[in-house]
Amino acid sequence: MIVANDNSCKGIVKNALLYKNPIFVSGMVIAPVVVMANNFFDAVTLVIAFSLITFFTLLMSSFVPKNIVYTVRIILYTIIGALVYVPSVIFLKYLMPEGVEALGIFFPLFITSSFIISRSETIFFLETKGKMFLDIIFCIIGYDAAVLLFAAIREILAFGTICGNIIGMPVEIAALQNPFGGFILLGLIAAVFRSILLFIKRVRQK
Amino acid sequence: MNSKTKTDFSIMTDMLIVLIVIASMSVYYYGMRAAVVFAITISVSVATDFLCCKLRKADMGKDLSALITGITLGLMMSASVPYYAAVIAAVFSIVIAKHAFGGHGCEIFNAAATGFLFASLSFTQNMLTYPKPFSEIPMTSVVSPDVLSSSFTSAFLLTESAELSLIDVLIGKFNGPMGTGFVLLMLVAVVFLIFRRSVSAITFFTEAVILGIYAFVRYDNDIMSVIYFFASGMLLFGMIFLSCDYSIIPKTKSSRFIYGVVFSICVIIFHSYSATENAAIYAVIISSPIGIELDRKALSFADMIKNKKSVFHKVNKPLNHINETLEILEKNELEK
Repeated sequence: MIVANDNSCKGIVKNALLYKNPIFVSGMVIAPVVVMANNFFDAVTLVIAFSLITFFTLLMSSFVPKNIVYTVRIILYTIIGALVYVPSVIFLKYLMPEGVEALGIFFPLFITSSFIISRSETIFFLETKGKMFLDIIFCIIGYDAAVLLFAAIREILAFGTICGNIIGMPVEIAALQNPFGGFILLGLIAAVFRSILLFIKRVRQK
Repeated sequence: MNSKTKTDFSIMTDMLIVLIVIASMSVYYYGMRAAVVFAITISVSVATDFLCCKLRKADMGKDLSALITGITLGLMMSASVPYYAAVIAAVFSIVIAKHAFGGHGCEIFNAAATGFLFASLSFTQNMLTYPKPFSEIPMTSVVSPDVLSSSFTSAFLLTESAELSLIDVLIGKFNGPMGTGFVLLMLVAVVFLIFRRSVSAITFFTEAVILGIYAFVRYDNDIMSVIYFFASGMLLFGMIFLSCDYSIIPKTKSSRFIYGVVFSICVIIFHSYSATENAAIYAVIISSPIGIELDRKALSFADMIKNKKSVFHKVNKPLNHINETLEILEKNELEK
């Protein structure tokens, strides 16, 4: 696996953004991306919803005592997620009501996302609070950037537009509008992303 | 030649010969534009395959599968298909359906069928409208819809009858994909391929019998409708070149039979409950992973039977031949 080996702040940021990017490398929480991130505006809604729920859930979960048994800890994370969901949905309904409607079932499903469990269980017990928050913030930024990039590419290829503006693409591949097309495109972008990382690593080693 | 000794290359050569004959007929029916579409699908498939092999550092060897995919893809398309649609379908076939799964021999879907399906979902209007055979088709990338019409299949699905003579159906003189309607030629091709053991006779006949019975029942024993049924929706073509594809078909005889049944059931379901024109394509894509799984199950079942037999044999041997067994045991002890 390609990772920055140092445990410094720079290493944590590099890992969160690039080498362990939640979407392109780890393949986490991709279902809402494949289904929802059809265009840039939908992706923005998705990103805001994900960031809000994930950040505040992880922030509050960090105060869960470490000596509680694993099963109970997981249940507590989910309860915290559910508590964060209520104000988040009220805030987002005020900010972008149509976007929240479009998110549908995927919005509440963020509460139980694998991202929250993995970050809370792997990082909280190993790092200091400062590094932990640095990791969370940059992981969320990495996720958001990947979703926005994916949605922009998908919108260009599937609709021939960017942010709703026609850019005069010679071909529009309508199959990419469907979840199966999105899944294939995400796989291709992830493959290219990992190839670039490997290439950079090889060049640096030389 | 025994099927066990028949090599991949030999099977692919047989397929290639048949496909080239059908492609030649298509060019005769639809003119130069058909030839250009074939040139595009073949060259893009082969070039993409070469690039993917280079990137994966895989040996191409005597692999003709990209060439076969290119021709098969061309045959499934309308003669008026936009050139870019042909390019995208060919790239998708090779990159996603072939190399993403590990290259030749590791595919779980028929590459040509997958590419066609992707293109037909992306460019529905262009992929499912067809020019008349022997008509003038402009050489521009996108053909004006004025010279195009819906397929014979779509009319047959709507009305359950067609105003075509038997000869026209047999020689494929109707609106549809370039190379999937030549019923007579397909029948000759399947006889040749079965005789050469390049397609599975078990799978083909299973499908033919089940779908034949279904068509007879569905169309009130009307022979003409049964022929229309097999000629339409790429059915006969799909049965020969897609469902019996050597790279995705199960290896054991029992699995091939079950695979044929699964394919037929899928066709019947799509034909009965959906308005899709090309039920055979969807059926191939759904049934091919099942076929691969059938092979695994057949092998594990065979292993289980073998183990049970050996256990049964061990248990019964002393009961039936006690003396003989005691002798063997004594012999073993002495050897020790």
